[in-house]
Amino acid sequence: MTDERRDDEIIGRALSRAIETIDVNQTPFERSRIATAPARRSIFGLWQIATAAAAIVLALAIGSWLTRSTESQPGVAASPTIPASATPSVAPTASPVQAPNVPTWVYFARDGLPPVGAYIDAHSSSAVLASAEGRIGARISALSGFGSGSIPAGATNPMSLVAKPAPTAGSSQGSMGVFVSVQGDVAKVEFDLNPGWGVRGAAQSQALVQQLVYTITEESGIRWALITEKGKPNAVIDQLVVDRPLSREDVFGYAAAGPSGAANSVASDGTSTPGVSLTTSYSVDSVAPGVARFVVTITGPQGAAPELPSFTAYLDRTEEADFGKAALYLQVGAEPNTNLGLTRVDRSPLRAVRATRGFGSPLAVGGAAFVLGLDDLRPWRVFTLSNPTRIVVDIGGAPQSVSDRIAVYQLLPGATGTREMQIIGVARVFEASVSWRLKDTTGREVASGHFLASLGSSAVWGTFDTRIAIPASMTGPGTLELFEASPKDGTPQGVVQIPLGVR
Amino acid sequence: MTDRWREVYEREYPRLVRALLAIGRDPAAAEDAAQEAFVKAHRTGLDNIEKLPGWLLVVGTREVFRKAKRARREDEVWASLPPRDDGFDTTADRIDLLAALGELPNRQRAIVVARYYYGLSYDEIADHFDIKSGTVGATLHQAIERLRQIQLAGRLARGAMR
Repeated sequence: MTDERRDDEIIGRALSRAIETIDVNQTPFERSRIATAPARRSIFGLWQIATAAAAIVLALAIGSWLTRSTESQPGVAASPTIPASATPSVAPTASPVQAPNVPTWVYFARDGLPPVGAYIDAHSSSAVLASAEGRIGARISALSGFGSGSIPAGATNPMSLVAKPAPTAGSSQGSMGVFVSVQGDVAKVEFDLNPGWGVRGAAQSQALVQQLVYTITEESGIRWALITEKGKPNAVIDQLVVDRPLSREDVFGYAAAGPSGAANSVASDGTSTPGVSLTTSYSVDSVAPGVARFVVTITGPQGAAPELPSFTAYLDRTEEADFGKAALYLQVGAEPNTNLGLTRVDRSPLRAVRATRGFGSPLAVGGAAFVLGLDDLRPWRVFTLSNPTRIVVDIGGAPQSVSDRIAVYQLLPGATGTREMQIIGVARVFEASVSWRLKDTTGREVASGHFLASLGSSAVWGTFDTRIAIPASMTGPGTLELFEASPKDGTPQGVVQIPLGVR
Repeated sequence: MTDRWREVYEREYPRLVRALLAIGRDPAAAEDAAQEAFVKAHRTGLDNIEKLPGWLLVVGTREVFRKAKRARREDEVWASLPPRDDGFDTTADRIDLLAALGELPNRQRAIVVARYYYGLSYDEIADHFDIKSGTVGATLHQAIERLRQIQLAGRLARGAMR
């Protein structure tokens, strides 16, 4: 072998090792598309070839849903109580007219992350889609019958399991009816199931409830979803009892919602430099799984490094169709935006970005403003980076990796590392001091220490990028905990627990 | 049947996702493409596919590139992570190499991964990627040379910043 070839081989092998160390999400076989494909595909195939007559049978068998219009009963609609039962009318999807495909936003479940939204086709007539009940029913029906192409990567569709015949049920055909009624901001969805929910175990049950709550509350003006079984006040999904209306924040998996309302805004002083220009960018799932990032880069005149301008940010609820259920408002003390308008993103949790002029009070900074449309009120954080000068807003992340004051982006839950592990993230803790301890499977502490974030005791978060050494005595699985030691008594606050392996 | 697929899936899936991530640099797209590759393999049937690993890689690569054309929005995968100050070490080297790989043209990237990560022979690469077998060696050498230059530039830049 020539020297040249040998040199190439060396780099090639180094590259191979580098690729081997990439952390990847290992979707288990059970949730792979090939494990779930045959059932889904057969349904889809039927949809594709269905004649008008076949469509009626199919709609009743797998996805029929019935709605009651509340328009005819304004008195009931205004009542604060949830109706005991809904009286179904005729199923509109069962009409002999082939329903058109309408792209509709629904949610799929993800392991270890909040649900992820996507547009899929609903097979509904415009008459059905004219009412809130109809639209909610159409979304659920679409999920149930969804067989085509691409579920978002790493996601599952628990609704596809519902109302399929149980394996023990022999040849009996499963069926599902859905009855939707809306009262104020609560949508009650009653399922008539035969033979049952079809999901097994806590993980699948929770995934189904998450998927349903997010999909049902996608309807404008609906904040709560009450899921029941026909003739019962509640729903029992495998072992999981659902007996009250649930909001997205009840099921999203984070320990608590992020701080919201203008009263909880993060504000930073800064210097206004004339002639600066702002550019923005965003990413989803790139920094870390589940993290949406929005970056405003500030460039000085003639490329000079500008000082950090003042800014404020806060999260609040919103009700705007196709914009999500929450909005993050970021205002920068710079010259007004010139590129106004809406950019659609539609990658959970970020639905869209709107660039506007300043909001005025209570954020009297003036200047450029951005509104991020979001799925829900999940935890968020804002920090700054220099060179180039940037204001960064991060939303979400894996619930396991996020607390109210610490978010870890590198060293993902389940990662396997060597003796020295790199940890990257952001924190908002007293005097910037982040404490850590490593526990083995028995809960014994095998190592501990602390490190500093770039900023502390401030509304704006600080960043960290550090390495911790694992003692030689430790191998195999363990848990790394990061927390703020209470300035009063040292007790751990805002703990993030990351399961990992040491090799 | 399912057991056979499970075994194939568990053996090949992680490697395929890593390779597709190295080729396409988008985690979601890599997973999506890997799943699609398996769905296509499943439809084709195990018995109809010779040398499954290479087959999956080629199908997955095509998916990754097809998707990349559709959405080129993720422009800042690593760019906005907190600045690194960890100097010159193996992790930084590895990240450099992967970043350098990302700088190569699509086709070169795929061929480099097929050769060095999947260990496919020149003939197999020529076959799968539909290029002349005589040009595989030259393309690889060209790609590696470029990797070397980019990596070196990265090291120099990091050294200069300290």
